[in-house]
Amino acid sequence: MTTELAQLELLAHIDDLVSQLSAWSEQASSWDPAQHGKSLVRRLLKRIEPLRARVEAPLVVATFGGTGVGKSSLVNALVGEEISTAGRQRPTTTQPIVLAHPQTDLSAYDLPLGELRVVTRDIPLLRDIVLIDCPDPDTTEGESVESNLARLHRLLPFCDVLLYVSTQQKYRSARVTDELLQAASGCRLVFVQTHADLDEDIRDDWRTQLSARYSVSDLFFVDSRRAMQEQQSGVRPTGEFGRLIDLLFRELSAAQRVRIRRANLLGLVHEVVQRARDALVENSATVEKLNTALSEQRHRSTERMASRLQDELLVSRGLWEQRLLGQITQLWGYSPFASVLRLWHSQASLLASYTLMRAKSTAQMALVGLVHGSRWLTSRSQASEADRRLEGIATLGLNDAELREAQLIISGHVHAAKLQRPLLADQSFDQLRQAATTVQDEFLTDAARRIDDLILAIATRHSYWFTRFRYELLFAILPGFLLYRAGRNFFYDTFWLNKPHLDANFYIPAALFLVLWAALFVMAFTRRLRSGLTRHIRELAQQLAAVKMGAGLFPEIEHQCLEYSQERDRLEALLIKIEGIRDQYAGASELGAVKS
Amino acid sequence: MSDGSSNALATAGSRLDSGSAASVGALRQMGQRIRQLSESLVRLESAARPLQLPPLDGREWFDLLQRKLLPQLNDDAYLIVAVVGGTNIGKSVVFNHIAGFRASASSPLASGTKHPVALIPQGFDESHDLSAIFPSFELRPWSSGDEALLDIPAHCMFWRSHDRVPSNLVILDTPDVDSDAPVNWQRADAVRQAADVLVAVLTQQKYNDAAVKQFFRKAAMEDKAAIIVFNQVELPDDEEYWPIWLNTFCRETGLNPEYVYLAPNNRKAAEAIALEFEERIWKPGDAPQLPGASRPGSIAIPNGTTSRVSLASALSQMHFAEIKLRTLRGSLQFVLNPDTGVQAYLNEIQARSRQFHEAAGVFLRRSMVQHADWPVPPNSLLVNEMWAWWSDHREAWTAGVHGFYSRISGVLRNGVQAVRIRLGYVPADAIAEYREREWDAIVRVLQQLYEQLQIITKLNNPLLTERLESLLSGTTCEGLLSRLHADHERFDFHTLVHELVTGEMEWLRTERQPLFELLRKFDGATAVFRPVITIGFALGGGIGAEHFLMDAATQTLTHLAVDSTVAVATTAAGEAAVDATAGLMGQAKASLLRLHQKFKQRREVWLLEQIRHHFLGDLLTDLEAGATISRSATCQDVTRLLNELVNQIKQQETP
Repeated sequence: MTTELAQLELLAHIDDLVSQLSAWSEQASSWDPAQHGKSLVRRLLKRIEPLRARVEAPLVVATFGGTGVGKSSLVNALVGEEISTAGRQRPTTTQPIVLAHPQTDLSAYDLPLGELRVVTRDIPLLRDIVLIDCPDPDTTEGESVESNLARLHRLLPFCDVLLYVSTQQKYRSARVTDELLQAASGCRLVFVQTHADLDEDIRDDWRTQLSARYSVSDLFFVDSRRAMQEQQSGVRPTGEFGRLIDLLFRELSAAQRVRIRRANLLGLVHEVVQRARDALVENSATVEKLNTALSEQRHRSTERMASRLQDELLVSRGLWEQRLLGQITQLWGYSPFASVLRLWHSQASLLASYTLMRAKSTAQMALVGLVHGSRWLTSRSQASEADRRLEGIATLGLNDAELREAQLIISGHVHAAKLQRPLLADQSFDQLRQAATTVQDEFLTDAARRIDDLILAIATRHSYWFTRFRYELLFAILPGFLLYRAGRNFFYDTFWLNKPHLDANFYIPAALFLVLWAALFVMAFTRRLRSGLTRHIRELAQQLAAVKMGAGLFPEIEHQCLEYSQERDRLEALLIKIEGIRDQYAGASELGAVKS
Repeated sequence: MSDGSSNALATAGSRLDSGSAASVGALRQMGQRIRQLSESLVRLESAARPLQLPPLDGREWFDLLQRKLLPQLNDDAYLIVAVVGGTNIGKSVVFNHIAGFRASASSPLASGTKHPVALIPQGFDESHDLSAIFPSFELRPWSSGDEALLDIPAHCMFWRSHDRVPSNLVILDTPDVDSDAPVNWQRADAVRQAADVLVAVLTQQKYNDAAVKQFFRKAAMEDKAAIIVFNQVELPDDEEYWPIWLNTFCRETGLNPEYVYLAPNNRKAAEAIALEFEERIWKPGDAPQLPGASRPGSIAIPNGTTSRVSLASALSQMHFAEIKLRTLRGSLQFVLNPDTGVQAYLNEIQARSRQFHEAAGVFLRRSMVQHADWPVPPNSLLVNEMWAWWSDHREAWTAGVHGFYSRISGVLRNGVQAVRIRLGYVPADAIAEYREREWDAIVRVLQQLYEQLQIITKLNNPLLTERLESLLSGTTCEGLLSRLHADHERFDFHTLVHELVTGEMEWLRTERQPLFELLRKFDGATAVFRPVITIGFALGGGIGAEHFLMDAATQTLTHLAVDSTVAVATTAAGEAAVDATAGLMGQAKASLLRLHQKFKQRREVWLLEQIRHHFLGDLLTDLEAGATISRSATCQDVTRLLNELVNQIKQQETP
């Protein structure tokens, strides 16, 4: 019961894995390596579908090896009958032979039965397995459809276990070892050296050669001729051949089918996912470069905008004064000096609005204030859209040449990072300009907010009671004195002393002096306001340059970079999961396999 | 090709039986030309390096030239016999049997023999330079049979002399041609190229292996003489199979063996160097027979048991001169074959050179820059410069008058300027503005260039693509932009303008003398009337405005200023000047246009140079070099020598 449960659990794991993989592979990506990995995984899924469907069917065991190593003789000796022609001329086997039990339903395997010769025999060995005698991989030069190599390649996807057969002459043949490396993924392996009657035992050297890439537990050194004689005389083969048959019965029994197929499947999935992951990792460096270039680009444009903003702010001192005075009169209310300031501010505002009409710089707008400024910016971006070719307007920072430079650099990086081209081609220069407007808009909104804050802070600092009291008191001296003179003259001198009223000779100079007095104070105060302004502006520009913008000039590419690392992480997670399942259910096996 | 030529050469060989000595002499005559060909090929290769073709070394025909033709053309007739075949099929056993003692170690493990072993006749090393015969190997004297098994990276050849070796044979044991150690294949290839006779060791397992067939197919194309030894044969069972094997093998490879031997599968005898080779007689084209059927066509006659001496004695009985001639000619044919030899290499160079030419065309097209709308240089700058030149070339008294007024108005203007700046006015810098506009144009040109490069990347050959890829990378682009920008910021427009304007004015002075004289007269007239004008303006309350008017006049050449002076000047110069004055404005405009054009031209040239210098650099030089290679003298040298050799061969074959 518990094993059955474990079995079900494993199947559930594999189902889950497959669905995750197919979800990943269906998701389109703009990155060439990712796209390549996805199509690889889609192929894999197609291939493992029949593997999952026939998980309970008898295992498909196929011979694999160079021509003349005795594949057919081995198969014949295994079944004890001369079924596959074992010949002396090369290659002997061109039509592959499938040996199965009469009760085995071969149609479930989806084999290319048209080009196979099917032989059914009711013998114990075939109850558990389907045996295929494959053609050789090493007589073919230039793979055509009819060649032995092509025939072999068509059969390999159906095989669960390969009997890798070799001889003293052929165990280091480059062609065969190369082909085995291709064939062995998704298969268990059994290693057999034949011609024991003629050749010397080279299994130790062979094991050394194989161990680099395969996990090898056992190697057999068999004499198919003698085994055949034994089989035909009704004796169970002895010696190495007997051991081989034992292994086949023991390790490839019905009970082991699911385990072997699962191990094959996981091995195959692991290899493919690993390859897809490796492709992504290999390309990461260039993507990282692209990412760095993007953030550098972003930083550079922020810096440029900040420095130009600073230049313009430093020039627009008059506007600063306006904003500060407005803020201060708001804070001070209607005290005498405040009223004078208000009067001064309102007349200056007239001038300011005049300046606004002719304003050339967005920095000035930012200074004018958030509400007005953004309204103005919007109208301005519309205007610039209407007149795209208008160049050289003193915008905050990013002129066409700079945008083009950025585009050139980023497009180089995009190319190297293997991001699919259409993405960048789609981002036309107009779109880039649009993006630049958005970036500037964001920057300016931020700048305007900071300027507002700065102005409020400066205004508050100049509005402490001591400062106010000092200015109000000192300012009040002249108006107080004049009031006193006029009052005394009216209420006292004319009533009691019958002196004449003060005439124009007094009031005209008094008014004149009052105006001069007020002007003096206003000048002194604005001078006070201006002190330290340059420092404040520089600080502000520094802060702005350090700000990380929400979006850069290439939002789509930035998004893709993020997606790339997500793809990679996802594959990494999948790989860990596959390894987890593989290790969790790995049992001891006497079969060989590709090392991972 | 192999079949036809081998047949042709077989007949040539039979004909040469009588006159082979004469033909050997004829071949020797070619030695000088072949040496020249080889030398000029090496020169061509180094000249063609920009084309990045695969090296000559490793090309079959060039290896033949180096390893076969050059060392052996002028030498005495000795034969190089090499035992070759797949791994672990008993090459060393066969070799030891030919030698008669254990000269090369045999091992039950595959890929055992790593280095060739050479057996030479006594005294051969004194009369011959072995390293010249085998230029691809490091020759080391033999000390034991196990040396050939050493796994070291150097291509070694172990040699020893032995009195049993016939006086004109060099016998070689070679590494395998099919194992998982590709370095063994390379060494086997090098031996094959040098060899005259190949002892092909085959087994029933390997005679139809792809790697083995490929090796011997090359040997057949080079017309090597072959002795086939089927090793590990099960006799008498295999008696009916070996003709089938042999037929398949010869059909697949085109090889035509001189002798065929069967060696029985007897490990003990093999170890003891006591194998008995049995000779078989076989004719090419014997129909393969099904085993078991009667074999009327096959002439496989068991020759009884021949002694082990037979293999060595068969070698010594060979027609040395004939075989030597045959293999030399085979190699020469291969080298001169238009599909496989020198001509193929020349064609490769031509094709690649053409590609380079096309690619270079794209870069060299100047229209690349002209497509961009280049900005017009600031007129004020040009006119100021012209004015400055004019001032420098005034006659003394007018210079005095004008200079006096310029100084006054200069002082006035500076004052006004200072006040305006004080009021927050930012003076426009014409050059800075132009610089900015020009940079914009440069970036657009670069963008176009990049687009073109990307198109080339997609269309052209992979090696150009590889170089372009690195040029197109973001980092390169960033570097280019920053360097170019720095250079552009540094560029001195004043000097350029000065140079151009001086040239233009000098040209006007010499080529348009009447006009120039007229202008001079106008200038003189204005000098006369200048005090009057100034007084008039002063009375009107506009002190300083006069200068601004003059300034405006010079800067824009408005009709106003010119008209007022023309009115004065015509009276001074007379009626004759009227026609000339009508063209004055046109002349001024034409002058400015010319200056614009020249300016633009100069800037474009500057940009092209910068792009070359900072960006395309070596690529462009390489492209140009590559494009001209196919027309170079070295290339023509090779073609000439090749044609001479081909003609010489033809002449020898016709009589």
